[in-house]
Amino acid sequence: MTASEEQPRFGPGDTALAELPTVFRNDLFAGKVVLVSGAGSGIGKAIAFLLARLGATLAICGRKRDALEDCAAKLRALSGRDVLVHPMTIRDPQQVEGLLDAVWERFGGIDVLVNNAGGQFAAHAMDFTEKGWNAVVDTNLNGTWYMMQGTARRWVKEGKRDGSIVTIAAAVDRGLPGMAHTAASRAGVIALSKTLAVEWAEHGIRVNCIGAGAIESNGFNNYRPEHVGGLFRTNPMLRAGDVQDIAEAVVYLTAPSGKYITGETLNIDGGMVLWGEFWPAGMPDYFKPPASST
Amino acid sequence: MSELQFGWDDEALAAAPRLFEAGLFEGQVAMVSGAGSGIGKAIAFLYARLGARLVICGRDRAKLDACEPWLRKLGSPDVLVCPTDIRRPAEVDSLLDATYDHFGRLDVQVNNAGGQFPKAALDISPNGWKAVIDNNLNGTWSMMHAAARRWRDMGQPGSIVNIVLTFQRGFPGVAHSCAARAAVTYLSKTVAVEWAQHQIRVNCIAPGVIESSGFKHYSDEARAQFPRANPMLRQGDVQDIAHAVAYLTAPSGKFITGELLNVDGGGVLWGDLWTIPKPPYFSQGQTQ
Repeated sequence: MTASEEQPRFGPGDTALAELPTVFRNDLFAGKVVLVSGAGSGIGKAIAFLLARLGATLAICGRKRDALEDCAAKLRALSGRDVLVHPMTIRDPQQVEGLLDAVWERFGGIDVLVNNAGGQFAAHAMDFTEKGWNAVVDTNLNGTWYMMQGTARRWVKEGKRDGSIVTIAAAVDRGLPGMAHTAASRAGVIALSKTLAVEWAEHGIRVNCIGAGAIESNGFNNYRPEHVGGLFRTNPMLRAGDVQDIAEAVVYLTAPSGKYITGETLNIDGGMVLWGEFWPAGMPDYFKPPASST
Repeated sequence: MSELQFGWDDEALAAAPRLFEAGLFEGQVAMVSGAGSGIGKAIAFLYARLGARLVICGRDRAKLDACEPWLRKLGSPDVLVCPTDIRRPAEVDSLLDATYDHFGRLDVQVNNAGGQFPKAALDISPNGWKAVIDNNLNGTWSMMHAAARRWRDMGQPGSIVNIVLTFQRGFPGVAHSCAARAAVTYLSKTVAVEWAQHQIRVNCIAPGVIESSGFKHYSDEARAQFPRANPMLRQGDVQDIAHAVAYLTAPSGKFITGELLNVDGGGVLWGDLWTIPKPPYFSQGQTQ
């Protein structure tokens, strides 16, 4: 029995993903080179697919070579263009340098950096281990920083004046009970991006974030089955978003449509920061309403 | 002396690069208030190019009438021109009635109408204060309320976008408008939750300094300082706002509600924006 038979499948399969409707003109990214991290699955793969369909040349990285190679084959089929595959972890600054060297060597540079790589596990803060905490902060915050600094240094050195960075963060405005480490690291990335948006404005570099709420992707498989149901009612829309919601936001912010936007975090969460409960690690009894009122 | 021109003229606007797929709003009806000039006109032009049928309103019939043929030429299959003062709830109701009589539906409402005059807060008169609050806050509320009631009654989904301004750091020189726009934003967040059950999305766009015909309301001194309002050291253009409206109201925005999107070149983070002459107080101790 394979994992896919055992678990429910969340998010679109590759065939569906390749045919999702898009609001954008189909040559919007012609001539542009984009680096997408964490592109082997889920939201990152959806971003890469959409960019390929809009004419971008792609470099993709992630930790799993097999997933990246599989994705790249599909991207080549979608776009008819070269795709650079570079397995690595963003937690290691040297591997980030190796990635960027490889991308610059192959394509001569990039126009857009999409920091999608990151991850978390649901757990109550009381139960965090030191190792677990460090792993989440190291990937989501430190790893994203290495990618941003490495890319921006190259852009400044070569005098590029229109670089754009988008990081997929989370809708953290009300905290994220059950994922405190993620809330902390994503909020760190958001404040970092605001700061860099000002510091790097003189180099023409725009830096924005997307605050994702509950987006249905294969990432939902990481939650315990009894908690997954709650992911579909975290917000006043009482549903989850889909990967295309995030992919189209990336396009909107990095295409000319976003040229006057920097330092911004666009929440795509169905209104979760206003109303709703997330509880990916389960809701403690304390918060549960009395039986009579449910 | 001819009037100073700011922003894009109609020809430039009509020829601007199209980023979205042609036909994106085919079959839909979009209402744009304040569509006779500036940002509102740019929004209407973009919807027309993307195939939407349009209801345009504003106070000046002549401007709306001049806009209409452009919209048809750009691809809008049908345009309803409806001069309206959004400060009068009865007129807003008539506008919505006319829309449903003519089109039988409404999909998107863009509340762009609004305005302000630069004035030091100490010098704002009671009438001046009330006019700005009435126009920007009450007028916008009447529009939202009228649309949402019809959507609820007919069981149809809808999408509202309100054009406000960046109020997060205050807005010296337009205290009345800053207060009204902040109010609209938090009104929007509130009804985004209340109206989610009716499949109505409500979002706001906060423009920073956007070069448009509205620039003529500011002094040369103020205009000269506008590029210092953000770390990009430049003004935005009306297309920046039009694209944001299209993005939020198209299927791309279907999981976004209660959100405020700043389109301001980072002005909420850094910059010095004065719509009135900057008092000397703020230049004390400057070494350069």
